[in-house]
Amino acid sequence: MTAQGQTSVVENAVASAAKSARSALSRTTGADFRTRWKALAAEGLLSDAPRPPSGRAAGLGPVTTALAGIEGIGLAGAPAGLCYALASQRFGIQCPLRPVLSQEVRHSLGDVAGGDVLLCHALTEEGGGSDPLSMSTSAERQEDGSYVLTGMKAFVTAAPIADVGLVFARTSADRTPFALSAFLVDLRVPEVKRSDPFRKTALTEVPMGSLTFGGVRLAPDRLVGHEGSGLALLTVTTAWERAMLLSYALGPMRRVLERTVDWCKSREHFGRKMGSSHLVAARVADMALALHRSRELVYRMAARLDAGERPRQLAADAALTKISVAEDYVMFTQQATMLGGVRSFIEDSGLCPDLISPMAASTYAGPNDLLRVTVARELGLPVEN
Amino acid sequence: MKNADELCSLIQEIIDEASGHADEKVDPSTPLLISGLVDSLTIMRIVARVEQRIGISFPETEVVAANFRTPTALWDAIEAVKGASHSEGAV
Repeated sequence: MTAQGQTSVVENAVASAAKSARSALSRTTGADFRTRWKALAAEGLLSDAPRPPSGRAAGLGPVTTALAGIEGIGLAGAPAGLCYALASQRFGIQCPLRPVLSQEVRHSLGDVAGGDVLLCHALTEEGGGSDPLSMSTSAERQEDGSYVLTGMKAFVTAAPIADVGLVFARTSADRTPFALSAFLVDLRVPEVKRSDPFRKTALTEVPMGSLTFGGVRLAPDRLVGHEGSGLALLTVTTAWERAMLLSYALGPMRRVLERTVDWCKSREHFGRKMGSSHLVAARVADMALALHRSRELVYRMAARLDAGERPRQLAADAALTKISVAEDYVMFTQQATMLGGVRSFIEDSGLCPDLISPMAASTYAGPNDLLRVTVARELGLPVEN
Repeated sequence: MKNADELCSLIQEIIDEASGHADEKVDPSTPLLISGLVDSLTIMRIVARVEQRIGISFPETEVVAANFRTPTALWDAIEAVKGASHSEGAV
């Protein structure tokens, strides 16, 4: 397919996802998170084997198709927190687990694709998430091959409502590369206590909380892969996240750019349209630049994953993608805020941007500062975290 | 890469890159984990480099202590992965 052909196929896929999402969102206006989640999942976004796009969207790989789906949902007006939660489960949990879990185990989780079963990624603890070998949550192997899980995970997206957690725990007391293992944990059992949702200020549409495991017994088949492979699995879930998670920002950015352009075309001051000011035009162009750069980078990641590149092989480029999109998202939102004037701070003005959530993107899925260390280390600098 | 000795050279190369100098010569029976010669980043780098050189996909679930005790253990694991991918008809 030519580059131009590919571009229009992607655009068609985004437009088609936006169209179905608009209808799902309007049917569920004012509904709770899970209702809206399920309505959007019904469009096939969370399906491990998505319906091969037909018609004008044919020829896209599964990752690109899912990416276009996320962008379309955001373009349709889904709040950023909902887009984030969808992208986080699809790309940060489902995609990396797909080659690892047997069909039987995948089936045992329930209807993830249809949105009935919600997953969460439980890595971070009170002490942090970027230094996984320091985690204290532990899974002790019993004589019968089962494990008993004890400890606490904090700052987990969807923890207050998720059904199954991908939980990382230590299976060895030593600080060795093979001290960690990953488990699929049913969070609906009495031994799992959930906190109330944290009163967070970014991505407020998806709840976040902590999970406390008070001796949860896990059957041997709840271990993901082999004991000790937790860090390797984590390397892959984080590579996927860094490559693809910021996809959630693309739809909301497009919406903000569209409404900002409309505003600059319609608002008059100094006896002329606001958009006839060079300064205004330059800010709008900078917003378009940030969006363009971000889309190109994330779609490039998707194309490489669709082409079969191993996530760990593209880990360094994924880190650069994550840093770039997160920082462009902040710059983009600042420009929109300036152009909206006082209306940027009036909730129902239609021009009020969310200034906090873009900033938060620089801290999750690997804080940008630590990702910079990774990038520099890959270039050969003797720098450590 | 055809044998455990070539794998040793690769591991040596990666350890040298990380530490900037070679303190220890890696041979097929060098205990990689007990000696603390390789940390988690080095392990992941070895996996990535092996995949590139040999053109295999080393499953995450095989990145476990038993396969990294010595270069010989890792070479055996690589051979097993190669065997499995051939039998699936993959390249």
